[in-house]
Order: sequence, then C-alpha cells, then structure tokens
Amino acid sequence: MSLSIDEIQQLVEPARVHSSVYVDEELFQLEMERIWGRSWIYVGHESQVKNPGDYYTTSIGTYPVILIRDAKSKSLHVLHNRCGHRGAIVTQRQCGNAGVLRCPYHGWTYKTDGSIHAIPHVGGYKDTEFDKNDEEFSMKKLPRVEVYRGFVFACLSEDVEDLSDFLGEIADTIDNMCDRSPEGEVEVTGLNCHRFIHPCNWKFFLENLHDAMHPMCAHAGTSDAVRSYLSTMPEGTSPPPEAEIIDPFAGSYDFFDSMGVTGLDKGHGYMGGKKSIFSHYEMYPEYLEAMYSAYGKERTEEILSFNRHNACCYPSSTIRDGIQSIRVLRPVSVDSTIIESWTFRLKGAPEKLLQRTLRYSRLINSPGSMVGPDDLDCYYRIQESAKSKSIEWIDLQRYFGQDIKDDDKDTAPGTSDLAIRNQYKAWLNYMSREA
Amino acid sequence: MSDNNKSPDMAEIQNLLNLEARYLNSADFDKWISLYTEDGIYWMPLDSEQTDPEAHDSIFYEDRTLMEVRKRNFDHQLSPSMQYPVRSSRIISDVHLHKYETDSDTYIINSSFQAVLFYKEQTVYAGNYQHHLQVTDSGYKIKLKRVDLLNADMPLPPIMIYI
Repeated sequence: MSLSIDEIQQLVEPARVHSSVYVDEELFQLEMERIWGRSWIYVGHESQVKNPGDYYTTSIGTYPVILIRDAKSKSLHVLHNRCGHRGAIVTQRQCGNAGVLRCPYHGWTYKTDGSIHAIPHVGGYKDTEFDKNDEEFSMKKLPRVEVYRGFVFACLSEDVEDLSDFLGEIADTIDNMCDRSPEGEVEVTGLNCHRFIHPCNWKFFLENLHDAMHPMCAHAGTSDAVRSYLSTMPEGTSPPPEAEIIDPFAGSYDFFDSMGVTGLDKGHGYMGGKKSIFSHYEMYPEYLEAMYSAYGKERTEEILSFNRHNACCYPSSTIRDGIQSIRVLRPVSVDSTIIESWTFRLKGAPEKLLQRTLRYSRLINSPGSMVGPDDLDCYYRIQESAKSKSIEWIDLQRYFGQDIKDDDKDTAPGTSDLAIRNQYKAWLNYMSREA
Repeated sequence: MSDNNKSPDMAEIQNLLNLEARYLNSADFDKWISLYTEDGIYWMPLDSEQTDPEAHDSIFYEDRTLMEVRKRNFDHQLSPSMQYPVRSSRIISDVHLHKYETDSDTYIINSSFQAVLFYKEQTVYAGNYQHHLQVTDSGYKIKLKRVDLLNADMPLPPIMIYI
C-alpha cells in the first residue's frame, strides 16, 4: 500500500471531503481492511436460521461468510465461507439446511461449527504437517460474533469492543423495533429481501440517510404525482394508504429542521427521536389494544412515542424502528454496492402493521419503487463527477460550527450536514489506524 | 354450471396480451390501465414460491391508484431518474390456458416473455407471466397480472417501467 496515514488524513477536512474517497481503488481496499475489517458488521437476523443446521450466506466487506446455527448446540456461528483445503467457496447457495457442509471440489466436509468432519483418502497426509485439529484447515470461525435481540453482528478482527459498547444509542433503535411487538420480538418476513444494485460507492448511501435537504427536491416528482392523482379523486374520498407514506417526502425544510439530527460516536447517527416521518402514521385500534394488554398504557405510550428515522449503524446498516426494516450495505467494489432491504413482522401484532411495512418497502426501497431510483441517480451523478475529476472537494458545511454538544453526541437542525461530517470523523479514525 | 367447460377465445386473449405489450412498449399508460379491471393488480413477487402478496415483500404490487401515480411520475420533469430515456420491447410466447376458475369466472392464462429495457444501459428481463382474465361487457379485462422474473431474488437495477 502506498497511501500513508498522512496522505489519508489530508482527504478529510472538518467541513469538506476530497472526491477521491469515492473513486480511489486503493482507498476502497483500505476501507475494507480498516473499517469493514475492524468494526461490528450486521450479518443477519436469527429468524433467518431458526432450525439447527440452517444457514445463510452473505459477506462482510468483500469476504464471503456463512451464518449457521449449530446442528448440535443450536448456537450461532459465523464462518468464513471457504474451504480450509484449497480455499474454494464451500457453498454458493443463498440459504439452506445442512448437517455437515461439504466442499464440492475435493469433498472435505465440515461440522456446522466449521471444524473438519472428514477428509477423503486422508492417508496421503500421513507424515505431513497437516493437522485435522488445526484451525487453519477448518472453515474458520469469525473471532467475534454477538447477537442483540435477534440481530446478529460479527467482526473479522478479535480486537474490537463488545457489541453493546459499539452500538451505543443505536441499541435503543433495535430495542424500540422489538418493543413495538406485543411479544417483544420481530422476525424476517421471508428468506428473500430486495437486492438493489447501486453503481456507486457505499458511502453515498450512508451520507444520504440524514440528508434532509434532498427529499423535497429529489422526490418532488413522486410527491407531485401523488398529489396530482389525489386531486382527481372525488371530494370526501379517503386517501389511499400510500399517501401517508409518500406525504413526508414532500415535507418542508422546517419540518425536517424540527426533526433534528444526531451524530454519535463511531459514525452512527439518526434523525428525529420523538418526531420522524413515521410519527403521523395512522394508529390502528386493534394494535393499541394488543400493546396495552402486553405492556400497559404508560409503557405503550413510551414505546410508541419513540420515533427515529434511519438510525445509521456505521458502516454496515440502517434501521427504521417505526416501520420495521433494516437496510444492509454490501460493498462490491469502489463504485458498486448492493443495498439489501429486509422487512420484519412484529410478533403478536395485527397483520395490518406488516402490510404497512411491506407497502413502505415496495414504495421506497424496492428496485421497482419510484423513490429509490431518484436517490440512486443522485449518488450516481456525484460518482460520475468524482470519476471524471470534474469536482475535487465536496462541501459539507451546512450549520457547520453550530452543533450542540452533549457528552458523546452532537445535535443540530435536521437539515445540517452534521451526520456526514460525523461519518467522516469516524472514517478518519478507522483509516488512521495501521495494522 | 355448464361454464365448467367454457372455452376461452384464445385468439382474442392473444390479441389482448399483444396489445398490453404494445402499450407498455410505447409507455402509453392510459391505454395500458384501460386493459385492467377497476380492481386490477400488477404483481411482481420477490420469490416465485410466493402465494400471498400481503405476507411477503414484492418488487411491485400495485393497484389502479399506484398505476395512476406511476403514470404521472413517468417522465416527470422534477425526477432525477427520469431524465434518461426509458425504452422497452417485449416478446410473449407460449400463451395457453392454465385453468378456468368457475367460482370467479376467471381464465388463468400462462405465458413466457422476454423484455428488453433500455435505461442507461440495455438489460434483458425474462420469465413467466400469469394473467387472470375476466369477461366483461367490453371483452376480456386483466384482474391480475403476475410477473415472475427469472432473477427476482438476485441483485437488480432500477426497474423503471412495468415489465
């Protein structure tokens, strides 16, 4: 690697960032090592691997991994999805169930904890340095795996704080999503999710999460289309259920300013808190009833008054407590990222809530949605400018120098660039640590 | 009911499917929507095993309201993603009666398709269509069109028009 720490540090200033962070191949490789290789990365949800032997294949940064439930102990493991023999990827299936994992090249088999089960014609290794119990020949376990209320995170490096310390206040968002279930638990709505190809650097997606200056502009076409259709409906007709979802995308600058934005340690952050784009959603009486009987009135009101938008768990995911979804970043290369969108069912809640969650997902996050492609196209435009070098520095100074500091967090009016500046503070911390 | 053996007018159905493709090829949403019943649905599941659109996520699950919104969004001058041409061309084959549902007087027609979409770059989509058709005073109308893409569960670029 030729980039020195000093050179890297020159790419990020307090209120602007150099455009090479989006296009430089070497920086991308360093990000995979120093950010994605050293922080807790969201892998999947326990409900994707309910039964012993269930597995789900995914990636951490650019490393293929497999989330698997131990066939005997039923505990969860995250393994490198590659054979300890010649390094072939062991399974290319998206998900499945297996008592043992078998590499299709030479037939080495592994137990669900990654240790070697059997090797064909093993005599050939007699009097060599091969050792069946040596971890090097196994499907290696990731050194750190922790589960927070069903959400599984793993780290490629041993040297990382405990998950709850890493999550900090982001844990409150996971708690709130689960607490919105009368049973206190969520489960995935299917073994498939949206997988939306973003031909741009992974950071654009995170930077847009708390960019409250764009919805009223970039999504004006969609909100105008909704308004224009509503105006053709006879007076007194109740608006379609899609309206409550699209409406806030045309929210005013004042609306988003009043939501506020918060930057936390490690690049995390969120918009809202008490108020978000979900806080005006219709409250279904049958849901309230289920919540009251589970938690009582006071606690229910406390749970439902918590409203954050796009809690960012830097660098791998963003969680929406109010609509029960998580979006997961899968960086492919410096200019290609897959954004997965998973939806969750609140156990014990009426189906109407799930239907709203799915409606939101289709309208906003599906590759077939009208809203998602507009966001994506905006990132793509900056990616192209950065690639052509027609822009050198990218500005981040809305409300710069006016953050309200409180211990480990900073807050600002919602349309501040605070969240992006905060992400680059974390980026710089991670990237300034050599191996 | 003697309707049990009611045989559909396959020539007319073939014509309807061709018309549907032609209207989408020319992005003529008004004419396209007019081929659907008032409660007509366009559905593209995430998973070909999926039977209940209300229980799982879908790529599209749109009623007439959303068709009308999408018509107004298409080519909208304020939409960044709509500044590029969206062109498409569809080929339908193997149109055949899958079954006739007596209770709802619905013909279920299966077919296979290939659709080429040009949006920034050229992309081929292929898979199976299933049309649920009802007989009305003005001929066959689409009550449900289900589109199963070969790669619905794989990473996809933006799909800018109904396939």
